[in-house]
Amino acid sequence: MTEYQSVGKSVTRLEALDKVTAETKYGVDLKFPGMLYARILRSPYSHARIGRIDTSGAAALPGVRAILTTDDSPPVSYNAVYSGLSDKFVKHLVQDQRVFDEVVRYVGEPVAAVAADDPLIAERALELIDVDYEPLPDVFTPEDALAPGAPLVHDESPNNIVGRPIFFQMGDVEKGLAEADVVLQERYTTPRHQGTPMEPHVCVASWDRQGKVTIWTSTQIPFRVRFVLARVLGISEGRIRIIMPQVGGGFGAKQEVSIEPICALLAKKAGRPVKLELSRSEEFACTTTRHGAIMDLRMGARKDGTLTAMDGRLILDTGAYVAHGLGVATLASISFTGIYRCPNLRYEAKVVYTNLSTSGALRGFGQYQVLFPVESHMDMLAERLGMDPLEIRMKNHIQVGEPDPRTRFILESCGLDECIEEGARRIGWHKKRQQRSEGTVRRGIGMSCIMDVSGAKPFLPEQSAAMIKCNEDGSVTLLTGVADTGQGIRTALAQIVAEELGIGAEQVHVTAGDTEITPFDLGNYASRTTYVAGMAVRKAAAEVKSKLSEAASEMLEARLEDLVWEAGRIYPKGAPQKAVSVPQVARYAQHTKAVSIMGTATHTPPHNAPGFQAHFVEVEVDTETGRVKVQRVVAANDVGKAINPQDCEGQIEGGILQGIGFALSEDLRFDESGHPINARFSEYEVPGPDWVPEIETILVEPIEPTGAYGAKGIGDIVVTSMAPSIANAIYHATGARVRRLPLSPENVLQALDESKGSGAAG
Amino acid sequence: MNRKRVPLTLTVNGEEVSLNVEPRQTLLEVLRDELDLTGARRGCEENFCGACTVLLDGVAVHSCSVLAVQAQGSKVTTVEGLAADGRLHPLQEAFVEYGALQCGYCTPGMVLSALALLTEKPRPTEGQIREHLIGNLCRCTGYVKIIQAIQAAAAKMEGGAP
Amino acid sequence: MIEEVEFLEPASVEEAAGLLARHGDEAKLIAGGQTLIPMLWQRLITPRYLVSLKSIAGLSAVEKDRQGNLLVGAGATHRTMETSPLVREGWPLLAETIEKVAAPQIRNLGTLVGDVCHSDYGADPPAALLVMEARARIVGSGGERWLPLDNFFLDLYGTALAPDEVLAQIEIPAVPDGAATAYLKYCLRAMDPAIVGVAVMLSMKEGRCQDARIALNGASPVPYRARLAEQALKGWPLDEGHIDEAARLAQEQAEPMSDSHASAEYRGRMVNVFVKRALRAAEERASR
Repeated sequence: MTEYQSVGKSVTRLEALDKVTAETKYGVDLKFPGMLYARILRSPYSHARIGRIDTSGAAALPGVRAILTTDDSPPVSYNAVYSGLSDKFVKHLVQDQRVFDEVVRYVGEPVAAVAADDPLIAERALELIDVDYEPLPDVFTPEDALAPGAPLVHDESPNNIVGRPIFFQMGDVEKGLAEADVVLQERYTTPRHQGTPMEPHVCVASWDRQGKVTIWTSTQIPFRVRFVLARVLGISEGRIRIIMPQVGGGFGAKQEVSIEPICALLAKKAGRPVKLELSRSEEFACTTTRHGAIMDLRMGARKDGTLTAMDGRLILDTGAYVAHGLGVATLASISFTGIYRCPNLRYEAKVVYTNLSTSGALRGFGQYQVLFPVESHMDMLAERLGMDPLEIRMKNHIQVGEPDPRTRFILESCGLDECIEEGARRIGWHKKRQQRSEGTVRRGIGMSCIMDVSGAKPFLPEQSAAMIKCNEDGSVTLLTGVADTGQGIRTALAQIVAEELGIGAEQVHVTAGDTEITPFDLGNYASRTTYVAGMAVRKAAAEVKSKLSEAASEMLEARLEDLVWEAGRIYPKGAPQKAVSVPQVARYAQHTKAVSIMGTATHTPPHNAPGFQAHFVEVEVDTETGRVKVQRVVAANDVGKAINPQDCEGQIEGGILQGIGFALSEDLRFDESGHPINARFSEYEVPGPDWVPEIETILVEPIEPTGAYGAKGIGDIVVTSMAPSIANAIYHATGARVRRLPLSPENVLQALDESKGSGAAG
Repeated sequence: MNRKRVPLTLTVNGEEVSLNVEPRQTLLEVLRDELDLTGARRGCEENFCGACTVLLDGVAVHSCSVLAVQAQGSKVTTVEGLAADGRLHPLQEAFVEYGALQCGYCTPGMVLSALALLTEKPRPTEGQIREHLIGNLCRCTGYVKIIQAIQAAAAKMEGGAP
Repeated sequence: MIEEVEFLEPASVEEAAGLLARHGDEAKLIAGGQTLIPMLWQRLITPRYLVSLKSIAGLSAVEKDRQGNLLVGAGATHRTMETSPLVREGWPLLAETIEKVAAPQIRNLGTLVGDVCHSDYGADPPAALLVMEARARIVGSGGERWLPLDNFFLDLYGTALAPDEVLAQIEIPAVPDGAATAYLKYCLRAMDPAIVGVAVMLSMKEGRCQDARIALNGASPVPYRARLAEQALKGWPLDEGHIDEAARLAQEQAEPMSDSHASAEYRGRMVNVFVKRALRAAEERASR
């Protein structure tokens, strides 16, 4: 493998010192002279028509500066994630949301908002706003919503189905099932998860006299926020500047326009800067969650393990608005059809409205709801066929050179076999699989394989751009539109630039996520930034390098083609004693040659370079309580070239612990009136440090030809394995199969009771 | 906005501070809003997540769940007070070296919680570190590198570093 | 966001009781504030006055009286007890329980008496205190009274304290010679309240149970002594049959509730499981 000087090294985060000393400023830390503080009045009803709103009491409260209600809502509907869609998709875009609608469709939907001199006054003002609600019939589960005669969440959507179901088929599923020696059919359900980034959503908006608004917001998608806001505010993109301060985590939860419109409108009405911060309970109850889902899955296989058919029917609960709903359903089709070769495929996904908070993006986007079923099914098929779970997966998974059935992209790199083999070896698979645990607390081992795209091609016009300017000290300034929410993308991009130019990563100054300054980028989602932006940055750096070479050629009086770059120094071939450094050349170019050296590039990748993983777990199941503890995880990931191995490991470890929470406990639930039951950290069980298993990570690095230095995505995939791996391990330990997430003590105990009842053996 | 304020004296990061606060203000609000010490952060408002952890008379507390007036006369240490003479505290160094931070929002609270632990138990076991950190949530790192960093810092501090 | 409030600092428990009497519903006592302040933040309550116990001299003491009882003042934090050799050596059940209360940050400020007064069914200390037959010294504006904790917890979040009364001190008798104790807490995250918490005190003689005390929190709206279960053990060896019977009786007595952590049905079942486990844990210690 090629040895690089910066790429592939665990370079310290550029911003680590600032973070560890709290020099880093987050959105919550911003303060401006004259700034007001906003609060949102939220609906206590799951479905109601808003009648009269009396704000006179609130308006009379000293210190209240602006109040917004339905009367102030711009007369446009929008989709909170709309942007970057090719024309082909725009005509299908569902725009079902208003800033303040006359009908509220979930508990917690904004009804009014107040900006006041301080937060306490704003909260008191909310209590003085009087709203007449006319309650409407409501519906809380997708099954109920699909039933004939169900109340309609949106009058325009009969049966509560958003648009048309997403459908894909290839071959003939019925024929494939008929040819199978084993056919399995099961129903799986997965819950609503909350991303719970540690920093709640926060936004500050400020208008100038030219009618231009600057918005500091905790987002993963600055350019898309600008795009949607332009529609909502009725002004052009150029009049909106979105700045990302440091963002305290996203995971998908900050991947749509949320509080920015209200904040901007309040600031406009008050004529002063306005800050809007969500409380943690608002964060749980009123920001987006993973789509709860039901999947009916049929799969068939021959005696030798070859898959003959896969037939999946998915129902996604999108809640009150569609937002990412169709996107999740679409990307899930790649996850469903992509990983295993199968001649007969059918996939159908219905995105269904309910009177719950809006579902949205969350790490594991489009994988979670379909791969828990598929990977549970694969283990059961293997058992029925008397095969090892590893063998059935290795036999069927897609190989380099094969096309993806859904996108037709040809796979160019795949390290899955190595992930499976190395993971199995490290966890002691073959020996432990033979062991059968007895007694009250039983041990088991399980695994699963996941494939995930890097970027959303072909569904989005994937693109990133980069600008690099060379400073006269030989350092460079990189301007990039990417959104660093904590994953470390700025450092990875700096390493790519540094590698290209032969300088240290600390010589690369990165400015990111400011729509006024940095070039366009679609944002932080779909594990795309290292893969897409990484290449844009590399191209821009190559342009800088070539311009530096021109200057060096003049400086050294040597021919361009004779120049040798080595460790940050340039010399004519055969004359290393004449070497000049990058800083010397940069200074020469700027001051003698009088040329500013800059490089710019845009990049759109040819496809979506899937990453792969095989994650193995050892668990302990208490058969009296149903409680599952994950003891050990061996995580093997094909990440392409790991630009920064320590950060890759960090992504994997963090993803695994999130994945354990998503698998074992996390489940945002609602009562019979649509109020969330567990909208607090004390009630919604995200994992604490007492849940950390022994985690061993393995980086498998096949070179992906379409990524910078061979890199692929890593962000999403890492959370998805834990649920199926743990479910498979529970089965190995106890003989009980759990098809309903979370794998909570109660669900596991129920499955144990049922397996005892059915006499199934462990 | 003429709400009643009362005098409060604290020693913050070694310096005595006197100011007038509202009795309703939490220590977190006073540190952030009155003293511009933004290392203490709000992650919840229910005494759970630990992003607001500071040291009060040497022990870790959730500053969101202490009224400032309850801290009258106390010594408060925030993350801003850790680096001495421009040098990072060994815990801070270890968090940087081990990559024990991602978004960084929980980091100051984690570091202070760890400092409280190491003050009482200079060489904690991995299990003791986990138990001690249960009042500090992190959603990015999976805690793995945080635990490693604390172990490394403990070794370094015992070896005679500050 | 916390509403405007006045912070009152009485110099004595009697003065505190007087302030409660004067301000009625508008006043709330605050000791460590670890449960109260989050409630204020969420505007679940909006008292006009907070009456602080912290300024009262001597109220934070944890000490042994002449009769050998442990006296825990209303201002004593969990941390004080956690780090007290007196508690560790003389009242190991209390030490074992306190370690399982929430997180270090909360134990550093939160008080034992505060936990008792908030009477949250998932709080850890009550089961241990019931097993140790603790008593409360209650000071009201009209005087003082003593009440066994067994009579203190009335219903969900409700206690025997009158609006003008302060629970000033808890008295915990010495643990009988030779008695073994255990507190088992079942929760998913160490930070969480108990789905079920079981405290046991067991005296064994020649392989038979001489005395058994069992108390539970989490299992019902109020913590309770499982007296029928205790009776079923006395005089018998702790074999599987008797332990099963005790667990069954303890479960029968439970009135489990559903909340975000567990359904009522599951809680009831866990009462059975954890009563058995706690009895076995105590028995094992007794036989050491």
